[in-house]
Amino acid sequence: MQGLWLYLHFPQLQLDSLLKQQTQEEAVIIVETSRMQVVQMSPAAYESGIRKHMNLGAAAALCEALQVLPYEEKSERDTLKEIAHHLYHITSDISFSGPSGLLIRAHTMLNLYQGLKHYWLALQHQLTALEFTYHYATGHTPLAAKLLALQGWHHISDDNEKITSALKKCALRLTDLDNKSVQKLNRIGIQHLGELMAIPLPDIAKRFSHDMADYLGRVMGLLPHPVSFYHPEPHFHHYKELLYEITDSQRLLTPITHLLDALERFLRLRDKLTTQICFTLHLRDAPELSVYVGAQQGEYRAAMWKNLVSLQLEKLSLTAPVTGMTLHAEKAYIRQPERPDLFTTKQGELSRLQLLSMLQAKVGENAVFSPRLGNDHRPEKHSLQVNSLNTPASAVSAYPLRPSFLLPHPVPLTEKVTIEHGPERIQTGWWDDAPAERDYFIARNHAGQWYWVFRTPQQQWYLHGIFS
Amino acid sequence: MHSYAELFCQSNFSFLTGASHPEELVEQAHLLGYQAIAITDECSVAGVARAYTAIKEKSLTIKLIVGSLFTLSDGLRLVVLCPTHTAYAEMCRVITNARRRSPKGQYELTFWDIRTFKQCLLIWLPQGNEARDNAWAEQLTAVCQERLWIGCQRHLTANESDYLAHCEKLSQAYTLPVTACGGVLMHHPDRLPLQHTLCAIREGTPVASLGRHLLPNRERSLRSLDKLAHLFPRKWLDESVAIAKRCTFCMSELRYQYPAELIPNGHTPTSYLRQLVEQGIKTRFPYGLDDYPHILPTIEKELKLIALKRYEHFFITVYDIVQFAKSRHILYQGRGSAANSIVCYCLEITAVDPRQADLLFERFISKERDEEPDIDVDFEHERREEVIQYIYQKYGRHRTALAATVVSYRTKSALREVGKALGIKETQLDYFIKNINHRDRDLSWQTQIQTLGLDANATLSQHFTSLVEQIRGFPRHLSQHVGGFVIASGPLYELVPVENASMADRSVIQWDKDDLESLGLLKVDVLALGMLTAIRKSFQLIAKHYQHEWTIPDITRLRDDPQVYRMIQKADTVGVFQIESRAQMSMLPRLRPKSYYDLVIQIAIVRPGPIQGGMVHPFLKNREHPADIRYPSKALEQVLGRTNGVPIFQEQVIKIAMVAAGFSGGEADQLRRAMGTWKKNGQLEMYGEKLVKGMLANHYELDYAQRIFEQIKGFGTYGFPESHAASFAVLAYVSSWLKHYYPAAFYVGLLNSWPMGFYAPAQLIEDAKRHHIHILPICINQSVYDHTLEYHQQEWAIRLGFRQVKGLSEATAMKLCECRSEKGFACIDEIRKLNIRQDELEALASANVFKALSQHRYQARWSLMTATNQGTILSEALPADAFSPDAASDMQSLVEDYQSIRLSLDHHPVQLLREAGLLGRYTPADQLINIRHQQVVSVVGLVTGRQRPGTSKGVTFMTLEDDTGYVNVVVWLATARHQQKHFLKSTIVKVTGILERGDGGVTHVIAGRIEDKSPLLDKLTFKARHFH
Amino acid sequence: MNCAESTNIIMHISFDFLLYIHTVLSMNTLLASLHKKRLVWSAKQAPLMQPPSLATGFTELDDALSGGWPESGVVSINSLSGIGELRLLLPALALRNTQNKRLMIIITPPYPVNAEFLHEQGIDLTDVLIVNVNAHQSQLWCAEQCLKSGCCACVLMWPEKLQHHQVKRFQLAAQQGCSVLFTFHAQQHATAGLPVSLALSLEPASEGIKVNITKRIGSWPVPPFTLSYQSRWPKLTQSANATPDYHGFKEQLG
Repeated sequence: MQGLWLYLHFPQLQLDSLLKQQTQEEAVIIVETSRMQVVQMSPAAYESGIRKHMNLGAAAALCEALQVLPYEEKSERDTLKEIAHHLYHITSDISFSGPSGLLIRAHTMLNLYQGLKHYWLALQHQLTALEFTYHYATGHTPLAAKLLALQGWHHISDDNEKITSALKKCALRLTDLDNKSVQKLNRIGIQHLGELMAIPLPDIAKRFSHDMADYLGRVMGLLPHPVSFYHPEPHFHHYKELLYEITDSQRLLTPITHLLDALERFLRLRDKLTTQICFTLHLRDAPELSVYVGAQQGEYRAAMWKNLVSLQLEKLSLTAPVTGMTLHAEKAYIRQPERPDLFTTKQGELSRLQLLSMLQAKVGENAVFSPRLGNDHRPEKHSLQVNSLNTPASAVSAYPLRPSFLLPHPVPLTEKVTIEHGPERIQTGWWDDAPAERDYFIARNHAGQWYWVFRTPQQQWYLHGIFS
Repeated sequence: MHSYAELFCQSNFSFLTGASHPEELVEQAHLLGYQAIAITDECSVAGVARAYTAIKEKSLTIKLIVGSLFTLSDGLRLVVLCPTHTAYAEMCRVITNARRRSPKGQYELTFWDIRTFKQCLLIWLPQGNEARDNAWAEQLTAVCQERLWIGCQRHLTANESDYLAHCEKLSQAYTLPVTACGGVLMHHPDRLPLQHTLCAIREGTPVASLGRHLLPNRERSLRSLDKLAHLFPRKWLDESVAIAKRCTFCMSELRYQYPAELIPNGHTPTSYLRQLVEQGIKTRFPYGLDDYPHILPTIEKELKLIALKRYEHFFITVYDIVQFAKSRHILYQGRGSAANSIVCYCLEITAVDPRQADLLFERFISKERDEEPDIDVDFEHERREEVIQYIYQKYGRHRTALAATVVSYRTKSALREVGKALGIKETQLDYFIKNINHRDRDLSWQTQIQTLGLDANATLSQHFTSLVEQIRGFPRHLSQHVGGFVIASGPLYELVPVENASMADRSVIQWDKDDLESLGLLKVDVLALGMLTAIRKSFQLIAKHYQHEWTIPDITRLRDDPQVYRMIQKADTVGVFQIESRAQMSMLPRLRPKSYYDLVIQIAIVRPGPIQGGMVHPFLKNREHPADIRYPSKALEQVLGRTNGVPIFQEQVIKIAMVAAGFSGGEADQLRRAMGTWKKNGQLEMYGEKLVKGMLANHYELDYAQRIFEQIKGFGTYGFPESHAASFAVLAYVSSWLKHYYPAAFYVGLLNSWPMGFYAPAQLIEDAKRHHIHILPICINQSVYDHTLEYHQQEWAIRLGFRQVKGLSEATAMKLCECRSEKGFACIDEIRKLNIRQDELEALASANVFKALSQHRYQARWSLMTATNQGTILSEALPADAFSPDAASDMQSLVEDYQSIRLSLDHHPVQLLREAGLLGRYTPADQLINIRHQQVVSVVGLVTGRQRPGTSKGVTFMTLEDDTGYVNVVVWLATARHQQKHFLKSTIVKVTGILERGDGGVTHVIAGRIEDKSPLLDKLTFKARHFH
Repeated sequence: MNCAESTNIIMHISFDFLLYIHTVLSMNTLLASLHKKRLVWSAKQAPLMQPPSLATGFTELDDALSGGWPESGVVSINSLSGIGELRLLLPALALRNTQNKRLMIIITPPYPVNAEFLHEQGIDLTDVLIVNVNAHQSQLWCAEQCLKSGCCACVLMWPEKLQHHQVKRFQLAAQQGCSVLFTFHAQQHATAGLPVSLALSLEPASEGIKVNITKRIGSWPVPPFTLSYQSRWPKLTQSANATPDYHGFKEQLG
């Protein structure tokens, strides 16, 4: 028995993942933006008569309140990866075919599951858990299985005639042939695969093109069809049982150092760095507690992690004694050698990213930020804050003489001031719900402080900035 | 009190920068009490003409200064003002050069151009950068010391005080006077959101992310005098008024000189015209004029008036163009207000025989109205280019150019652009645009858009709807008028700047036809008409095959032919000019035109204007029983007598205004123009009261006056002038005459001039078959590129030509005909040797052209394919093929026909379905006559057209075509919405409903149940013409 | 003892006294000659222990501080907020920022810092970090870590009360990381007696700012003087500015 392949076709991955979140019955369609054609539609949309490949105008005419979403191939590929990840537990040889198809080599798994039926039952159980609509079919060659799945054959069988007879009835438009050659075939009276298979291969190669002959050969199994399979990336996951329960968070440090050493060995072996590690503390008869520790700069040395973890532990209070802990490092990436140029005299031993992660570990992530320039006439929208050092500064023109400090919100002016310079009129922001109508002046109070004040059309005066 | 003149102000003709119309700017300046206002768009005077028209119409007292803003390639910015006429000519020349150097929409200027300004006043706008300003100051003071100022603007921006100090320093250093100027972009501060949106559209990024690129505040608008007094020192304001005083040029000084070389020496224009008219009388009235006493005196009256108004050149120029066309046998026809004059008929410009139609000379030229006459001349659409090149070559590219049309924002484009500027998602905008029904009278588009999911109370969507409303009517860019030529005696750019059009060898002036009208400049319209080409081709075929020589005047001279009118009354008018549309066909049996003037009325009455004005039914009622028509006054009877007491033509509306409401000729004409644009600016209401008051004064009843005014409002944009209808009626009669006497030649003429008219070739062929004309399929050995006539079974049949094959170029078709020997091709290989492109060979094969070589299409294509891979030498030694495709079934060949030649000769889809027994019981179209009124009937047919005219309350007219004829189906809004799925998507439909037979034998089927039968033929690619 | 012995003692004393004066006088001439021959070193000539310094951007201030801000150490500034005290430092910090790209840390400023102000002074915003934390201890910890880290050029801080040992630790950290700590205080007495390398107190002045150097290691006290901001920030300082309309501007908006 030559190989047996199973093909799973997911017609509406994006729509299914969307419908999982919102349950109510709404008419939603996914539109392929370049040709403005409907590619996926919700059951409600289907009832109102919307069909595949219909253009937006007709669909809109058929159904009044319609939600229109652009088709994103990337999100479909990601969901497909997740599905493959789930199926990996049951069957090993999985390969991706396009954004919506999974090809599985079945014959190697049969003796593991004693027969096709049991294997398919296990697979089906896993698939129904994921709630994605799918079509399935088996075939002796990858392309045959794909064709039958697209056709919606829904048969799991490995006997030859049934498959070939179903193949013969497949319409040409489902094959991978480009539609110009499909049209040429239609024009000489060939509508289905069967009629095409009747013509000997050399004739086809002579009249049409070689890749059409190759394609047919692969469908019929005369030519080999190499397939590359999916392997999930490895990541660090380590559980450590504690000899005795620990109640004081400080004393957790010693077991943690053992875990960190194991992590360091794992990372150094693969020459990788990680920016985030997560400790899950298993408490006695209490829900698990997970502690995330992040470093701005990729890090693998245990000492550095110990430093950061200790800062984090200071703030941690334990509700119940800890019986065990697991260390989990998610996003590990290959280390690019850091090229410090010769000239910067490196006094201290910390780099700025390490300093930043230390400060953030001490005072919390959003208490440390770097100022950036916005792009707006309204001062409060022109001075922004970002969390990481490496977002680039925008090169926007700055006006001379702006106050050093800006009050978080303009405050009504109470002191008596003398006007030194102005006015600078700002009337903009009509498009969002914070419009500004202000005349800015530079003023000085009796104590000699320079204030940045503004006046509104209703003649109220506000203090907005200080020239320190 | 202070006084001020605004010298730097841009209208929305600085595209996507200015946020107000020129009219709004001028009115606001007048309101604020400015001494003068200069409209200075960027390198253009397009806005100035609009401002001048607004001042003239609203008789404002403010002075208009003509000027323009220039930005040189090195960044120097100047405002140029024109104190005198020569200065104006100077500026126009510079603008023309700047525009002609660069592609459409841009311009390029160097300092050398500035040096050519001898009289213009220059206001320099310093940039604020020390070094560059000093360098420019040196250059400018060297060129013109006494005509140069520094222009200072106050916009209260961040570092404005440094800029002002810098300008002060420059003024002292180079002893240049400083004037205040506004840099105005908006006539009112509230226009800031619109200006921001325009800037966002120009930059192609949403408003929210433009940030500091936008104007910081509303100061760039027209401001009150006392606010300006605060902002500027008194000296600067007075300087601006001083400059305004130096500008004395007014647009009315523009005088127009006609090209003089057409008058032969020894003749004055008047004498030469009289001579031409005398010749014309001899040719036009060969049997003398004794039984038409009124013609000669009218000619005298016309000539005297033409001499008085000095329009001789205008007629002679048009006469010259028309004579050129005649010499080249290009069919032409004059129309428009000129069709009212007998002089034009004598000069062979128009074809409306005064003996048949009552011409109203006032409509052509009237004493008080100093408005130019406008003559449109239609030429054959395939040979119009020859006439255009003749004009360019005769008068020279520098003396003639096309008038401009201003392409402005309509609802669809406004929705899309404003939506993008406000950051609304593209797919959502497409969805709105596709779903808004603009013709829906009761639901405004704003309410419609809310039902489609734009949440009403978000601030953004309120801005969205108000911005779209404001931007509608804003100009987007200048494009060329379809055929309006401006011809001058001297170089045109002395009169108006000329710039490049998008088409290669075309140049466009910066004013559109309304500006030309208000400035009294001549325009000649050279337009294209498809029907003229068709008629000329039919005349040629008749001459070649029937050896009869016919021309249009010969046919009109035969007077009304009852047989032709019987054909028209039977609504058998597929392919006939103007009266072939579905609405006309349903009116013809009711109006039963039997004379030329009936045809004129027929063309004018079936138009949205009269229908909306509710004039069709009273006209029909009065026609049936003319006795009880009631004319409130003798004068009105004289006006409305010929149209059964109901105003149908625009001329009649003018005459009513003059006769019944005491309007003067000039006011009447302004009423006419207001009727045309009342939707935009609502001027008609003002004339409304005047009209009703006038009629009451002449003691007409109030309700009659109001009804007349309602009818006039109904006319709106679609009211049809009698002169146009008269000219069209001539062509309508000639084409029906040809269809009656030489049907084969008529159809071939039409098919060879396609695309034109209302019907696709498939329907024309269908109509020909119903008139028992034999249609011969395209054959490799018989056909040529064009369709031809062929003698077949003792009568003329139509041989389809290669032009009908989709995907086959004319060159290949010509090549095929040349290489074809006398007895034609013997087998396919001969054709393969001509190395014709592969896809064209396939197109021929799928059009079943090789039938003569005994190969059905699949066989033909299969054998064609074998040749391509191994080159030609080996082909002889080809072994018999193992594979040969079997013949296509009828259904497949039908689908193949439609895909390749867009029609099918042997089968009709409905006929195939009937033979296959898929349709069940139904009545074919031609047996509908013997079905009783109000009886239930079911019909089947191909949906060839859907029409939902705005006038009907949501009722859709659907036309079904089966192999025997047409069926009109009426679908009420309720049935359409209820069975939306079937109604919208189907190509073949089975309709069961009630048959209604209106007066005059017009039958409709009121749709009850609609069944979609198209799945039976799902591959049919028949394109129906849907007019939603 | 009789008068003879006493006169003898007096003569004896006066003789010593005379001898002494004689030597002193000759010593002077001797001293002067030795000076000429450069053999004598006097404390006054000693080259002041010149710590490497950073030009402040204002000439009088450079002279007063003989060179500029200290390269590393702690500078405490007493001043009201809003009289241009920050503007005093920024030209120097901007210059240093362009020379070698090191961080500038601002710890819990009294009001949010205006990014446009820093950008306008020529500071690259990607080199600025602001730490907003209210706990006094955490502020000190952060300041020390930053000074020690070596990747910071300067740290600005508005602490409440500083103790002696805390300033000592900052001095050490600044030395180790080669960075400067500027501390701003409102009350005068807050910094009396602290081991800072430089202490200033500032008062407002209409044409700029009045500077009084209260303490500087290794230098003679200098009388207070007024710095003019006229050249850098004209609009701040000139009271009657040039635009013709400023007085009369009562215009209603819109």
